[in-house]
Amino acid sequence: MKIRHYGALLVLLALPLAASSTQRITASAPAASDATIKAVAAAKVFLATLDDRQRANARLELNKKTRSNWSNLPTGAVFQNGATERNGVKLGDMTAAQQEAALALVSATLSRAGYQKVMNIVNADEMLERSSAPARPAGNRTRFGRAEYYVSILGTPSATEPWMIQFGGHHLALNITVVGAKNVLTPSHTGAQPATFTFNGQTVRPLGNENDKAFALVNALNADQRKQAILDYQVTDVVLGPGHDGEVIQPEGVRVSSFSAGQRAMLLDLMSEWVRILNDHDSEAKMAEIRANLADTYFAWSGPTTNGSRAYFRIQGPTAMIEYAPQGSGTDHIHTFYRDPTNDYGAKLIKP
Amino acid sequence: MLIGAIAILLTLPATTGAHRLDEYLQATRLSLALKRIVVEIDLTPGVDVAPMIFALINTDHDGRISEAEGRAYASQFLKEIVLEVDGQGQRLALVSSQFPSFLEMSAGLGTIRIEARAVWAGAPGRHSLFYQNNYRPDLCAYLVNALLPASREIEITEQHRDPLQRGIRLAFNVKGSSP
Repeated sequence: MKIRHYGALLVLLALPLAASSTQRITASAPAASDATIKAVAAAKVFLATLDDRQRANARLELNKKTRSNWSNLPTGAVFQNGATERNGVKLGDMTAAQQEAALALVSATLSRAGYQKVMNIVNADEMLERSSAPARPAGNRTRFGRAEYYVSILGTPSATEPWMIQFGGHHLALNITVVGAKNVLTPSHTGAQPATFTFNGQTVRPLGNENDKAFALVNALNADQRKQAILDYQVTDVVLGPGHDGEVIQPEGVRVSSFSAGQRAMLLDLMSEWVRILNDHDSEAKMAEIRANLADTYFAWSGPTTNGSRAYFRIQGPTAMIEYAPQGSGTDHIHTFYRDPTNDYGAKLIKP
Repeated sequence: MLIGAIAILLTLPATTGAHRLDEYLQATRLSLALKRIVVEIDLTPGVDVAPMIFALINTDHDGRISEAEGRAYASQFLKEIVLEVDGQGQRLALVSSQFPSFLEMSAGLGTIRIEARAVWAGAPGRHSLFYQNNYRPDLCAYLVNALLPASREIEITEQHRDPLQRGIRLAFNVKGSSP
């Protein structure tokens, strides 16, 4: 397989620091949590910074069609759902104050570490834009970079009624459904290209923990477990990316019921890299749910087990499905997806 | 908590962007139901092979894929698919096909989507299914997966693939006879 190489370059980067298809969706919800109250307040502040035209674009009805409009693909591509543009207003069309309010909204819904991971992904994409733009053919509409990340609010920010925040661009899709006291992060997408870069003198690996913890886990399995976990065929990409809402595949790999306490702890720590992107209150509840279902969870691996190699892995349980897939033949372009077959877009909390 | 924007000057080391360039990714999902088997295939050509794939489809060379051209390509593609249940070949009928533009395909971001169905009467008992994709093995990369059956009457008990995922063998039980 051939791959494309990007060269070295100088980048000026702004980094914020901080921690029925159209049927309306309704719910009755318990009282709001602090996380919800913060999200509602931040959403109102963000909307207040926008002019009328921007506000009309940023706020959409919450329905099946709008909520499923997300992708791993960059601006300029036709997304898996057929759309040609993300919902909302992009950072590049906002003033500095509007951008700050937009990112404050994102920050309000996430953990400190989760927000930093998200910003690392955005920064990686900014570097990709800087490296790829000079060689981009005329007429090619593909755009990467920080300016191409969109913020939208689906529904009306509320402490009781369901609504959503979407923040996404190339290699990032945060779909945060807020239903009263509960915030839900699934489905979501994280990715990175480059997967390793230098920022302000520091080496940054947006998905480095995911990679390293997975390799540590597969190498902590005993011979029998490895025989079950390591698939005897190659997996070149994710299975349930964008456009596959509602699909569940037949599980494979080693069942976690065979894991020791130490192995279970390693798996939970690995899964927390996705779950704990969300604010601490809601991610703690989600981790408890995953822990309760751990025995019925499967871990599958395809590829070598030496860290630094190209390898795919999947964690599939009753309430969480995670896929990690390097793209192409190398390890510098990664896609991951995090789903909950029972609660994507807050399905368990919302009455159809 | 929050937030300021600061401008930072960065120097990047050489990085490698690993886009799939010379492969034609073919991702298949199989859905087993009591009266039918649904096959959904997403075909994504890499940048280097996209012009050749586009030319195969756009037979009148007008730069656009017409409905008839799309249907013809999808039908030709399905002829390269083997689907057997209990050793008996199953006829796949094209249900729908969607095609991206040349611009999207040439950027490596266009996916062709084909859905086909086979009619099959799911009698109670143990069964086996074999699926294999024989389309252009010289340039294709493959994924094939069985979806968890929507019907509780069907339970997949085993799945085996070849090393490249061109094909899959499933063993499954049909528990009851209700439709």
